[in-house]
Amino acid sequence: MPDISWLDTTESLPVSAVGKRRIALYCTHSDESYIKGDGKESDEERGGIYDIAQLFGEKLEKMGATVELNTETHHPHDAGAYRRSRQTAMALIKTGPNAIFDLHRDGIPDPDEYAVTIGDKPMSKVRLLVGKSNQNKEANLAFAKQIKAVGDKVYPGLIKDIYMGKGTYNQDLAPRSVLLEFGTHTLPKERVQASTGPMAEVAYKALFGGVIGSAGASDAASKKTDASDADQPAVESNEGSGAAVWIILALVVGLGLFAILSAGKGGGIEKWKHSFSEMTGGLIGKKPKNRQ
Amino acid sequence: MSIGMVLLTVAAIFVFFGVAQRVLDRMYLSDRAALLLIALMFFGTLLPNLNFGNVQISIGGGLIPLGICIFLLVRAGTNKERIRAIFGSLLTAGIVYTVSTFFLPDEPEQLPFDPMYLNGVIAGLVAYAFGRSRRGAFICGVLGVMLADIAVAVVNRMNGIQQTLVIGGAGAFDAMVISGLLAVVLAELVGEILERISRGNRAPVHSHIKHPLKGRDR
Repeated sequence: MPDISWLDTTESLPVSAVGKRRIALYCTHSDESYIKGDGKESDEERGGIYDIAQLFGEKLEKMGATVELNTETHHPHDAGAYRRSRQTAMALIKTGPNAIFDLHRDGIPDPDEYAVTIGDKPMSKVRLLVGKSNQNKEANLAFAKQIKAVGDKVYPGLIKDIYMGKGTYNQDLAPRSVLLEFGTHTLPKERVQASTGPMAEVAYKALFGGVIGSAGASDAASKKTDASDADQPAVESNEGSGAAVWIILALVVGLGLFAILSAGKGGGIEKWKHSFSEMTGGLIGKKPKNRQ
Repeated sequence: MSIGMVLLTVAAIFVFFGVAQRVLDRMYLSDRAALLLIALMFFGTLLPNLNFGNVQISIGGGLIPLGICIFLLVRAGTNKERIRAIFGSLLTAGIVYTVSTFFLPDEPEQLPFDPMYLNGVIAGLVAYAFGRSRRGAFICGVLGVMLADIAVAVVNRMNGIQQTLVIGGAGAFDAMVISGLLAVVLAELVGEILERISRGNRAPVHSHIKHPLKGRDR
């Protein structure tokens, strides 16, 4: 599990302008609702999941993050929903968030699968979902593990598990992109609402460490004992892009070898020269008179 | 890095090494034109969408691929080819809409593949079935997904759901772009395999169709 020893700070530190702390939220399945609370499990206009997203966003803002909540709907709830919400996710990513969350509620009939009591308060567990079919899988999984590690330490039992889904879930668009399942449709909505505060705290700390306060406040005299530990960013890896870079490098080498193998050493080198010459308008290499 | 960006980068590399030469020739595009369009799609993604009330169009993911489709339709040699491409797009849209709405499960984890890639596969197969056309494949892939999205918007509006229609909203990473590229690759792959099977070890016969850009027989 990831090292979260930086969580053991005894002082809350005033936040200077340490950089943006932006979190983006959206809901792909716009109809998802809670039977006890919304009256139905699916609302064709706007599901109760948006209330959860709103509350989650408010809790994150109280922690000190700037939250960009996109309330655009993506009806209907079918196989094309993620294609439609991809556009929303892209619009949010353009704002440069540190992380992006797609909020859902599960469809498991048994409410006990998600029911939990934390500190005498009835709440809902939250499942983290990471898609396997995308290049950012490793980075997203590392982020999910970070969230779970923080959650298990600060609010044991809050994070249900990390589920590895087969799809992409638009998580190829960003390296810190996780799908959150807030409870299930048979769980009372109040329990889900009660879990938004702790979940916001867990997500905030996983992203920005143990520092809390208003983002963008001016510098103040700090009493920090060990700034490097407390200000340590939660997730630094960006392994998703690395895999893609290796794929492209392998492709370039492979194509180069193919050029040489298919046209012979001389012909292959001529092909490369011709391509460079074409690309640079004759600046590099001699531009052939007639293109073959 | 998203799958769309990887596909576009791979396409650019293919173009650079001349691997996509035949595909580009049949799409009436030079290497430079193709690379310029790929670059425009990337940078167009960064620009804000064009807003027309409840309809938005992304420049990188919607306007440029649409522009390429219109160019290909205008440049098509015969009306028959144009009709085939348009009909193929409608058919692709119909299949994509029907499959997404009525046949595929809602959750991606119930499928062995992401539904986003299915659109390109459908478009490629439809285009190939209609005339073994790489041009048609690109048109079917792009227009098919766009028309399917428009169909969803119309149905939503009829059901009283006020929802913004965004065409190509994910820019260079949108399903429209991915579908177009996948469709062309699939049509090329299927075409080459079938051609090779039928040709065996005999040398390929060069086409006698006059090239519209270069003005000479190929």
